Amino acid sequence: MPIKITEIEKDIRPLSSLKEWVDNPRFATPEALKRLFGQIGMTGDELYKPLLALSDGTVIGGNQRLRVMREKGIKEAWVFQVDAGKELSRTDIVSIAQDDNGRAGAYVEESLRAQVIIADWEKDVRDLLHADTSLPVDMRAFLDGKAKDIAGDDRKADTDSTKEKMDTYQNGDQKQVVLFFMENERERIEMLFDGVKSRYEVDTNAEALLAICIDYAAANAK
Amino acid sequence: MEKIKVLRTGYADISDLKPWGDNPRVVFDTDVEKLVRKIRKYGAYKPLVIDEDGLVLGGHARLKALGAIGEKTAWVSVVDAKTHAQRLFVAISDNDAIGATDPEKLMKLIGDMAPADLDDMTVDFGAHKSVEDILDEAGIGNEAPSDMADVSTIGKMILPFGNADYEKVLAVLEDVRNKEGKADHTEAVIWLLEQYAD
Repeated sequence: MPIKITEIEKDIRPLSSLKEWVDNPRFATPEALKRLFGQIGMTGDELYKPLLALSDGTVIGGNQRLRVMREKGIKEAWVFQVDAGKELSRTDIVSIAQDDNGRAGAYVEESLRAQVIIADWEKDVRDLLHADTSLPVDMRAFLDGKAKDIAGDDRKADTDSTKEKMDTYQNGDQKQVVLFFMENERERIEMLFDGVKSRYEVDTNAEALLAICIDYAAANAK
Repeated sequence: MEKIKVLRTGYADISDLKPWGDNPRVVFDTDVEKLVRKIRKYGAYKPLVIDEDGLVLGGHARLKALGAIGEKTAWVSVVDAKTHAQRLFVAISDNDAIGATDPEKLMKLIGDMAPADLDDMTVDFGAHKSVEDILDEAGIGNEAPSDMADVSTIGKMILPFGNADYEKVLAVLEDVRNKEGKADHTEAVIWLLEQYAD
């Protein structure tokens, strides 16, 4: 059932009043821009989140969208002015811009794959989407030189640690191991769990997995 | 897939908003803590993306951060996403950072900043995977959608642990993955079950 929304007016501005951020450290290949072109098309050439702009019209979040909208011949866009009623330092501006490109959390790759299969998209829709399955690099680590060789070992280390995190959900004091499998395998997996629960005389699948992990660790420590 | 309409923007009661159960992303507590600090400093400058029923498609971490701050309402952008395919499209595109960061330009931008100012900032260097690649890894990349029908039911099993037990389990699963060449935790768990079941 639709929830109640207290509607507010969008700040719609002509693209001619907006300008690209000359210090923007982001770039996009023609292929990436083509994807964005298609993504914006899927929402009827309308943005579902605003460009982030300063009072002088400089876009600090959404420069690639701005480029694509101009290319599409779109005349106006939804804008949120980040410095309305306040003065932002250069650090603040960089922080907001980086955050606009940043992502909290990470994909659980098995879940992502499952959801994409269920979505059953045509190829032309699948071609519009990319997913970043690594974690963003901490800016301080970058400055310290740890991320100097992004394509090298450091990047691999980041990816490995991401993989470890992606297999789990974190939920306060409780953490969860999440298993993904084809539904037609469920019966066999449940039977295996039942076998372990019976052997170790425990009640739940989590207790069963813990019991065999303790045994495995003990056996491998010898 | 039918196009997705962008409907309206406004404020919704946080109590009306529901995290999307099919969201393929996880949220880390550390990210929520960073967002809490940012929202306190700058306010909300991005709306959560929701459907008309209040299902959150983009902004799960921000929803948690707003809740942690004690906000009662959230700025939202409402889209008309009625199908799973439309919802997933919004969710993935919301996280699809088009392009990448040029390390040299970034260095110029932040090189003279105090290290403390960089806390809570992250940077993306564009290690993307296409959805096609993600399907290819499952060996079903280019099959026609109709051929996917028999694999469209994916099972999920959640095993909850306290922190200490979780660490023990995770260490073993990683050991099994490395020693037995298992691709992920699910395969490692099944291997263990096969060894230890009655």
